[in-house]
Amino acid sequence: MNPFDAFLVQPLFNALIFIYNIIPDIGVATIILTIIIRAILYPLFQKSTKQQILMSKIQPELAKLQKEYKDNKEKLVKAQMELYKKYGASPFGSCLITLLQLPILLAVYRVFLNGFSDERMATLYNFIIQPDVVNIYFLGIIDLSQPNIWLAIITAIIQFISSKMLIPPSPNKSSKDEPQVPMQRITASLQKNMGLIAPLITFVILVRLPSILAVYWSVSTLFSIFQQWLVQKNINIEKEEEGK
Amino acid sequence: MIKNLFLFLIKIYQLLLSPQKGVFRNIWLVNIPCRFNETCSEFAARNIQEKGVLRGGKLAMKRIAKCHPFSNNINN
Repeated sequence: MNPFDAFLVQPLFNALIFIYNIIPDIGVATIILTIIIRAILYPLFQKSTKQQILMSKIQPELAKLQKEYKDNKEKLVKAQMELYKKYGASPFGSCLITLLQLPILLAVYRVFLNGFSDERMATLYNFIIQPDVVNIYFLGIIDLSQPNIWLAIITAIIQFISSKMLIPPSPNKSSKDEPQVPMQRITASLQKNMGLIAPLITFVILVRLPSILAVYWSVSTLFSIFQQWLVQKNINIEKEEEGK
Repeated sequence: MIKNLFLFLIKIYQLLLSPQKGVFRNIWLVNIPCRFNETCSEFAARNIQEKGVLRGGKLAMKRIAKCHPFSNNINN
């Protein structure tokens, strides 16, 4: 067994079956596993939420500094560090953590795509009871090992809400800088219609894959929406306080 | 031509997958905001535009390597 399977896929699969043994509904077990994964990452989540709120606060001042010290890079760096200190913001690696979570993410998808064959069941640890049969029906009606159009549609709708929250309302772009290169034209129109393209891509991907993935995708997107809402709420509160 | 292809790919990444701004940023487990005042992909796009694929790409790689919890860098 390669290290990716041994250290990521296998433990996750065992965790899923462990939960399934308690609540024998693979859909519910999937939801619980997703919540557990997010709960483990909660400290990081909290830190990232705080950082996002802080950044939105610092941004205007940062822009001011950049104008002020346009010609003196050294002074700019110093002033920026002081600004960060003042707000207690620590520059916090993002690419690294993003890259680190990539294998975990792939393992999660792997577990859900692998299914529950005998071969898979053989990777259970000794202390996990192997269920006689895995009931793959979510709430007793939806076969999660098969694609399901309704779950794909629901996920697309959740994705739509999530995308809408991220896109700033109507980016007023002047028609002066009309893109000339065809690729630029494509990206410009993509950008404009992103709110619709994202749920469409979600649907196209999920409509062919085992619908257990749609369950996972929905739950994690709901988390994302919750975080975005939390950030937005805090930013708004702070803006109101400043306005007073 | 190759330059435009790279710029196109970066743009697609920014629109879709980027944990900062992409519409699919919900697929990531955690989204941590960028420490730089110009994200890595913006930096890469700008440098590739100005200096070409090879030199700009090299700078972009260096830039990505600068982003880790033990670095104090917040600037380009």
